[in-house]
Amino acid sequence: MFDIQLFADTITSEQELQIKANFGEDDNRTINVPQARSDIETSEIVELETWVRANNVLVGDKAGAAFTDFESAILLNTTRHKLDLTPTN
Amino acid sequence: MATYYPKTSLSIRTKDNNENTKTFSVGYVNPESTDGTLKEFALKVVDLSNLALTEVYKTTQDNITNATTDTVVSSGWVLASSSPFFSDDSDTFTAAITALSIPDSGAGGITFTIGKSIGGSTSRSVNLALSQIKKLKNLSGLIDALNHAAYDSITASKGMEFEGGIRKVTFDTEKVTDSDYALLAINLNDNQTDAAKNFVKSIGENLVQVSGYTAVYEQMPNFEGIMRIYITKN
Repeated sequence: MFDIQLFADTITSEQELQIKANFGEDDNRTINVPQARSDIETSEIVELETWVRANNVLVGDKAGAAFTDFESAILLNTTRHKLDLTPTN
Repeated sequence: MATYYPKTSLSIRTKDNNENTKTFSVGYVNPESTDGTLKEFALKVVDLSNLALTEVYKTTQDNITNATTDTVVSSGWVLASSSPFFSDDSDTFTAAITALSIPDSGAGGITFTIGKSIGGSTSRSVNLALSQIKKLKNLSGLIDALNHAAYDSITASKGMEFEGGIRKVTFDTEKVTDSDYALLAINLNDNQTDAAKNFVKSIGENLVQVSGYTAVYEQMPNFEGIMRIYITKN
């Protein structure tokens, strides 16, 4: 007699916002915002860029160079399909 | 290339509606930025997510010893305009969120209760339920206005329900049809201060974010002292 083990794979999806910020001295880095909203509009990124520049908040990693702009903003969708490796008899 | 000091990086800790926490970094920030500016920046970043801001801290690296020190800039759930969770870590509040519920579906929306002690002894609260919320803008302005508002009663009709005791207004979108409107009238009693009027306006500005509906804030015609928020379906 064998027990039948049902596989219970887990599928999850996540959305991450990746904003690439440019600085002087030829420096840049990417800011990753987890569980990003799916309805983000371009105007919101532009507004954030304007605010960051006006308030002189972000500086470069290498030499503290001034922030110049956001080069890109990407919504990255990641689907994870975790396979159930529970052994069956 | 020389490395500049002091290096200060900013980290943001967040929480989702399943109580899962995440911590992410936005990298190096201007070491001369005030805590208020850093908190505001963190709010704007978290506003792009479906997360609630719980803590903002900066890590400063000593320019001689290279030792790092973590300093909390802001703690407690903080409102982001798109976040369904909010609180206010201002010390003017004796209680922040006292109730929070989010239904899975239907016209319930999000219900929250804000408690505020006015005059040191009287507590007043406004419980608003909003459906299909996309953004809650200016809620901090609403909270500030609540600090000054003096109102006697709130009456509602057409898709809105009012409960005595705790002033509760529930806006049920299923009760507002294409040709209908929902009307919320707030009696400001004799205290017609600008702050009180701004309080009503703040409610309207928040309600205007309900998807598919338009809210208009105005003085009720021929009824001095009564402001109304007129909600129609788009």
